[in-house]
Amino acid sequence: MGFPPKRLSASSGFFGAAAALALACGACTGNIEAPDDPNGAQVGPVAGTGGTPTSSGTAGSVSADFAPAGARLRRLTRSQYASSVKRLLGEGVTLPGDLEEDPAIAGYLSVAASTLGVSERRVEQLESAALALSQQAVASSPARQKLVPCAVGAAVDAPCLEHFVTTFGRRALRRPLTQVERDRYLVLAKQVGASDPWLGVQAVVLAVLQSPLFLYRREFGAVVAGDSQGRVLDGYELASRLSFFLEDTSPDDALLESAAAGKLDTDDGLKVEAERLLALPAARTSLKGFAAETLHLANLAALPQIAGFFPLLTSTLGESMRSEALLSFENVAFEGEHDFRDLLDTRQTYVNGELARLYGLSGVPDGAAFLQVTLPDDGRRLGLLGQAAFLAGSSHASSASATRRGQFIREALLCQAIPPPPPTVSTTLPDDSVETGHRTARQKLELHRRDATCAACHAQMDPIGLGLENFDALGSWRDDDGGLAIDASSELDSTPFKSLKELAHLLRERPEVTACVTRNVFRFALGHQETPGEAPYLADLTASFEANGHRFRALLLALTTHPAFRRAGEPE
Amino acid sequence: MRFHRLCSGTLRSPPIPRRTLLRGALLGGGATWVALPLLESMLNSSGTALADGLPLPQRLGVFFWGNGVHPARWKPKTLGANWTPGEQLMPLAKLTDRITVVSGMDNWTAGTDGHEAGASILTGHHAQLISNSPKNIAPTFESFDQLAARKIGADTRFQSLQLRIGRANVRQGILYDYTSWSGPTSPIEPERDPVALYDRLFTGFQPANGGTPVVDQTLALRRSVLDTVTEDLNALRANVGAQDQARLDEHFSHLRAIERRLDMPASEDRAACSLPTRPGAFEDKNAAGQELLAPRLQLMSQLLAMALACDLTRVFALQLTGAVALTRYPIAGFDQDQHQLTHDEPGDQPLVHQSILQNMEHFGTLVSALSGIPEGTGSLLDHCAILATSECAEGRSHAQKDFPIMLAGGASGKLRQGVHVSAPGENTNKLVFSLLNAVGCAVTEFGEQSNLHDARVTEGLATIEA
Repeated sequence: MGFPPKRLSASSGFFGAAAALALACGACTGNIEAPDDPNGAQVGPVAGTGGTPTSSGTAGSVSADFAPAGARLRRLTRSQYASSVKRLLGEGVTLPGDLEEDPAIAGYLSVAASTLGVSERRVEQLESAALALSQQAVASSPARQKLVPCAVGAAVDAPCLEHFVTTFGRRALRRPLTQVERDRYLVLAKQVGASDPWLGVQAVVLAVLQSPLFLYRREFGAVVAGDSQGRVLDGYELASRLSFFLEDTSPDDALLESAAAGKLDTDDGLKVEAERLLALPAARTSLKGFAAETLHLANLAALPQIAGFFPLLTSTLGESMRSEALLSFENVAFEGEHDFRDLLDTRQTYVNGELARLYGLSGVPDGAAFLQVTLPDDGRRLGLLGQAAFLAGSSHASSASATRRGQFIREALLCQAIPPPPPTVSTTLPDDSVETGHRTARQKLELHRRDATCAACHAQMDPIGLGLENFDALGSWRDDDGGLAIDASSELDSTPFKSLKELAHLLRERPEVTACVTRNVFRFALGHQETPGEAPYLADLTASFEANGHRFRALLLALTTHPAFRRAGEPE
Repeated sequence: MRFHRLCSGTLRSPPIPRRTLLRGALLGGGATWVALPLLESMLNSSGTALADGLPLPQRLGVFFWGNGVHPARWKPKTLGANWTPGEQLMPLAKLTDRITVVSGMDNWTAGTDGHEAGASILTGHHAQLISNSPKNIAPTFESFDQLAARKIGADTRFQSLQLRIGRANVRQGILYDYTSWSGPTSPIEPERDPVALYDRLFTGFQPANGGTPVVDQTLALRRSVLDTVTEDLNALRANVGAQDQARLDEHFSHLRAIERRLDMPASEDRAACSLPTRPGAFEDKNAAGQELLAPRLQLMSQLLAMALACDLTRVFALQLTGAVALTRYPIAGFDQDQHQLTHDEPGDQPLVHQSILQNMEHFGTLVSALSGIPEGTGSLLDHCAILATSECAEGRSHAQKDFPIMLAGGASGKLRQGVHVSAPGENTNKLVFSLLNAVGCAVTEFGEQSNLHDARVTEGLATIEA
């Protein structure tokens, strides 16, 4: 309030817009990494800081230039809440279906979950859900027996109640209860359950499922004397961090036992648990969530394309596209010993009847079942960028979009940021007219090239996408564009390519693509955007990823067993 | 069954006199709540106010649509009362006595992205990047409906309601998906399912004149655990940083809201309050796969109107479509989403024009739903102040000057209804200032004042104030 009132004049508004425009376009010249992105200048050779932890019986130390990001609470996402509840109450419980969805920040739900506040509606929904779940938990004798095994018949005596609170509380809070917490829940159970102890048990379930100690993860560690590089997580906090990353749910009993026994205090012990979790089906589910967020697969639930223009469009096609992308990811990430970059240029993929028709493949039976197929070696369709999930997902309702396709490759694969068009600039491209007749995308996008305001950013996107013009807005191959010849020869940062196959090979060899995978997994795992102090951690991970043949599993293990994984910054 | 509050008063908000009376009458019963008979002695003879002198409630609402209008074709042709609609306001021609149009205002807190004003016009503050990915912009302040929710909604069952009609803009960035923000990083997810909205509002609720008493056996149990939950929250709060403390404070206030609701009688004694029908199935797409907004809006408007009439809430934000709306309107040839068309359709943009007409018609649906419910000597609408606007003046250019702004409702005589006012270059924050004060929020300033920007106002727009 200390500033004298000052009218914002029209001219200063204009100046502001012009300055912002210069800034926006400045970001599109040269290296387009965002300024605070530690990956920006770090690709390529990295400082040797011991990328893989030592195989000693202790925890390795972090490099001198590492500093952890500030620590934030991480709210359970909708899927983490659901899976944790099932871990607590059994797979058979019915979860209310109306829980609020999670938005994404910086590409990931996990980042939003450590950033955004909780809305009144969500807290209200969590309360209703907790009530319904607590009712199910004590609804029948078998349910009661499962929840409180020590109960005999209708009776829950004092020691049994105490045992229930201790074990249920430990699973829910992912650590042993403090004495104060244990007493708090016991008092509640006894007061509410004065005449009916099962009502007391239900009250504990109802309270715990709404407790911020359950709904938020606090992995803040503790300050260790003589150690100035952040706080160090205890075994239980590590167990949570590991489990939510690799399984998208609360630690299982075995992991809590390992934490209790101090097994996670050593690098070897942590690695044993990480490997155990990675072999579980839940790891695939969790990491497929990573793939879905990275590749924007949620968009496919409602394809914008118009049936009248695309006879092959069906109500299930978007879901089929999503499945293909996830199956391909799962294959490269989890089956055999793939180089993760194979995703870009593999001819192996998965199709069902409608995808086979879209791709023009013969010999695939009609129906929803997916078959693994090898695409023809004609250089046309291969890898991630040959999948309809990408091609249709980055198109308009009636036409392919070279710009959007280029933007996706820049942002999702190269981790390069493209700012939105500046305000007051018309983004209208002149439509075909009687004078011009039908024109190809290359002809229409020529305007982006001619206008310097547009060119700064569009030069980063349009050329890449124009190399994919042989795929229509749904991802079908086309030899021409409405009768006009398609010129799909183009360039990626001044290196020419003539086909998707050549583009895929170019991308595969780009160090930014490897570093981008690391950065994305990092955000997904740790729930925050990388900070400059964490650059050594990221550099180690990328080096380890490369040194291990770009195997995705190796990256996950390197991330979780790195000394920095045990660290947290000051609470902020 | 009988439970005791473990730590009475921890969460309780200051009661208002009328409800104290109701609660006092019931507290002897302790655990269960029943519907009350209509206490006619509590109303004055004309029904315009409660007998204890409290006026009928004031309500504040926001109606938001995406991608603006075509300003030159939208603006009324005459000033003052009985304004003559421009061609894009024709769908509201029958409501010109209800709707006030304010033309020419500018959003002084618009930013560098053509659509972020969806947040800034409602928060009075600039939006900012919250990550180094360009789509992740968030506001820097709460939206003004939330300010009103705290001031005038605190004693109702729902401090505010957020509703959405069109599909959410998946992954366009969090800024565009939300209309209401309870803080810079706290978007409020709107309710989009009419059945879920009905259940949320009316499950266990009984209009006072509605017959059989309702007994909800779960209320006492639910109330009994809230103190425990709060103690857990406080313990966690003591061991986190300042930003997390703010998040937990929000969480706490939402727990308070739950407790307040559990403590309220599940009935209301207002004349126009009656239990609506639970919504059934409805169409939300046509054969061409285009989105039908009308059927959902119709249902949501009816439920909202009754929620207001029953005083379940006094503040709402209805998002017809979000900023950068990706809606494909049910119009022949509308083969792109609206946002794309605003940029791609050449010339006079006949398709975009038709979609704007539909947006205006949809606003009329809401206004009519509210004006159709009698209250006091007039209608429910007379005791509302509703701002209808968009995130830009024109989608094609992202223009932030000459914003499309409509007001509906007289705010119990505090606002002029049915006039066209021109306020060229004026700060839209003045309008918000007027609305907030018209409904009794008693603000002395609104809008951003920072090193970079001065958009703060300390007075309203006199020409719309009665």
